[in-house]
Amino acid sequence: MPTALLLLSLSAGAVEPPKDPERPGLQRVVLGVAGTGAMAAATVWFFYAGDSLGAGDPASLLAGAGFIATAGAMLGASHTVVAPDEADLDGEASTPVVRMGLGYGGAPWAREKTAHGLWVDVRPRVNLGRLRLTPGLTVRQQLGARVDVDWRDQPGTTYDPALTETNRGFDADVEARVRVIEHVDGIATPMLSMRFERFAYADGSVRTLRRSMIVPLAVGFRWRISGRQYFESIAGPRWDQLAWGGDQGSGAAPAFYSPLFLSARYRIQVAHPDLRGGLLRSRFGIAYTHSNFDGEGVNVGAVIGFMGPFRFDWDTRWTPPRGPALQVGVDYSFGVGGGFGLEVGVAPRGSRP
Amino acid sequence: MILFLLSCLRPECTPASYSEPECRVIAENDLARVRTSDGVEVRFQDPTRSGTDGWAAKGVARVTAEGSVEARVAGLGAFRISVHPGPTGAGTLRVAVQNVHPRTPALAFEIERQGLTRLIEVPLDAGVVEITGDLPPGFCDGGYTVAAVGDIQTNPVHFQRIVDALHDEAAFADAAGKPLAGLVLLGDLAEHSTREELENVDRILRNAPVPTAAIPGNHDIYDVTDALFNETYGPGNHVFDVCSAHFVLLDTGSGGLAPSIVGRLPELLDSDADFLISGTHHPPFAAQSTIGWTREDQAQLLMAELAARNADVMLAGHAHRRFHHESPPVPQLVVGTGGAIQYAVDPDFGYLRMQLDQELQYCFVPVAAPGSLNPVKEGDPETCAELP
Repeated sequence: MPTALLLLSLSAGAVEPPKDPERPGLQRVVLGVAGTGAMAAATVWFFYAGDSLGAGDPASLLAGAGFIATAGAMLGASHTVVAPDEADLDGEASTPVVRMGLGYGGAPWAREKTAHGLWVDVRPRVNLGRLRLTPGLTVRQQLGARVDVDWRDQPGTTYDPALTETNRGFDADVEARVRVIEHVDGIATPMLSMRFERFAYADGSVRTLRRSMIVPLAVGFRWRISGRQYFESIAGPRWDQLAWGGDQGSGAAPAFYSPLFLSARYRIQVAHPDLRGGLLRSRFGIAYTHSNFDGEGVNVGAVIGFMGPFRFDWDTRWTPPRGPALQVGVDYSFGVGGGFGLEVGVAPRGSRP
Repeated sequence: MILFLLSCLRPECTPASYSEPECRVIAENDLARVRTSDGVEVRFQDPTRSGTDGWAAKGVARVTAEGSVEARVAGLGAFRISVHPGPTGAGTLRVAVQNVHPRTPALAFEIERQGLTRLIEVPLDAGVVEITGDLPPGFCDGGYTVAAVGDIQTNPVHFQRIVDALHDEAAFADAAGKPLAGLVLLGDLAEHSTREELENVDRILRNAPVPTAAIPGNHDIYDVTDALFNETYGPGNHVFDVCSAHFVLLDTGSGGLAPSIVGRLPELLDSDADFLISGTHHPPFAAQSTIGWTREDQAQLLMAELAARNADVMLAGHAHRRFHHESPPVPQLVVGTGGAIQYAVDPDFGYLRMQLDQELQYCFVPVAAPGSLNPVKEGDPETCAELP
């Protein structure tokens, strides 16, 4: 079935893009004002309700999405300085159908080990008239064990490992996207993420943990601000579930509700001169994810634990005269648990973001 | 750049950044002992173990301007301190043992009692001397009470009112036959992470009727260059037994635990006590409140470890209100009601009263702002039917 979906995706055309405005100044103003307004509303909400009433999730969501929208408007405006024509491009960079990546785990301290991450993502597309379905599966594997040391100075200490940790997991989702009005797609995406973690403690005992995050339905929209840029945001309720095993006994807890999930993203395409007779395109993206499921997030001063990670990415696609397009990308996530990543992927010719 | 590439050769926390949880673990371990200019060493020890070769992060010791030593006990219940003579091995050392329950029997070499402080004068000609203290026999027989609250921040004046109210609570608890064993302070003692703020709250706590076990919150730990919370209150990660309850207090000020503390969770959580109670500033169960841990993976691991041991309750602050969750793997009580701003018309200040006997019972004691039109509010956890 996945092979069939992959072949169908590679052979099928993509959703026909709308006729895009070439100088979307007004749209950018709307995006920027809406983003700034969302951040202002979030600030008011947070300080007058969120921190004291314990119902501040919408505030963080608004702040994160508003920041991406505002930054996107500014990036788009800056880009027009070098590329005033924002007409649609052929061979745009987009999410590849098959890709793999490496996440840099950082440099370890003395006596410790960090672990890098490897992931493979398969994301075939199926076009059904106005509806586009994109089932996705990302499999993640930590490369080796992460080792942390007990640094407490004591007579005769040998600074032994306090914690040896490994993990793997997967993320599965199905994105359903349909054109609602010109330039705007509606999106609905159910998501499931699972992590399988193993902890070897200082006393030699072992704990295994299975953590699941379920977002039954995140809904949102993608707004094509111009032929070369879009803003997208989806949000939905989230539940988590825990199961544990190991030397100290096993058990499971019923699913419990968790912070709301949100993903907001802005992307802009960049044209390059042709390379070896093929099209060369890049895209730059900024994104915010309101989830600390993988222990990532941005903390500033005393603002700790309120925000998820912010991410920058740059992808460059080369579409040769014949055959599928090749794409390479780099990304950087800010904050706790963040870092650099690299990815390579392939995509069918002419697939659109 | 070169330093970055060579970081695999560097011990952690060099250079130090005390906004990082692992650096605070190193600091709290180092601050649990002090050596005077005469070479006399005072060390906190684990009261559940024997021996004096090492030390344990069970308090903070410091030398005063006069050359004596202050030793602040971090937990409630039993404590143990060892005094190691210097090279001269003569004379005495005066130690002010702070944060001691007033009903703790007289300590060895005790010369004076001032509130929660015991002054002892330790002879230095008899080798290593151990000073131990604990609640008196029979203290817990009919049950006992522990209070909890978090989030003082911008309103230490109101927190002073809560401390005053604890005097009434202590009398009420004694009358009920369930004496007050101590206060658990769930973080955010300061607003701007300054020494002045943290020491101001420490001064207020010296007026309390019972000792306090404190942990840091996100507002207490973001000074990079000094471990200010640990210098004032001692460890942010510590465990102690009070009567039949095992308390596990963890430093989550940075939105997560130090990796070495994660590695020691079994050591910290395992206990034969009847009750297992955790205390963190950030609630492990965030619900839909955007007040969770940055390291949500660690929060979920902690919940699993607590659930595997049938823990009774997770105490937390951070949200400036009271609420109670039954849905996570372990029930959670949040009481961020210590005075921090609530942006409500009439804020809901007060503390949690936990009475422990055959079972754990809890309720909320309001300590309203002066002039409040509704001083006894409803909420969850429920307002106590009997107020002091």
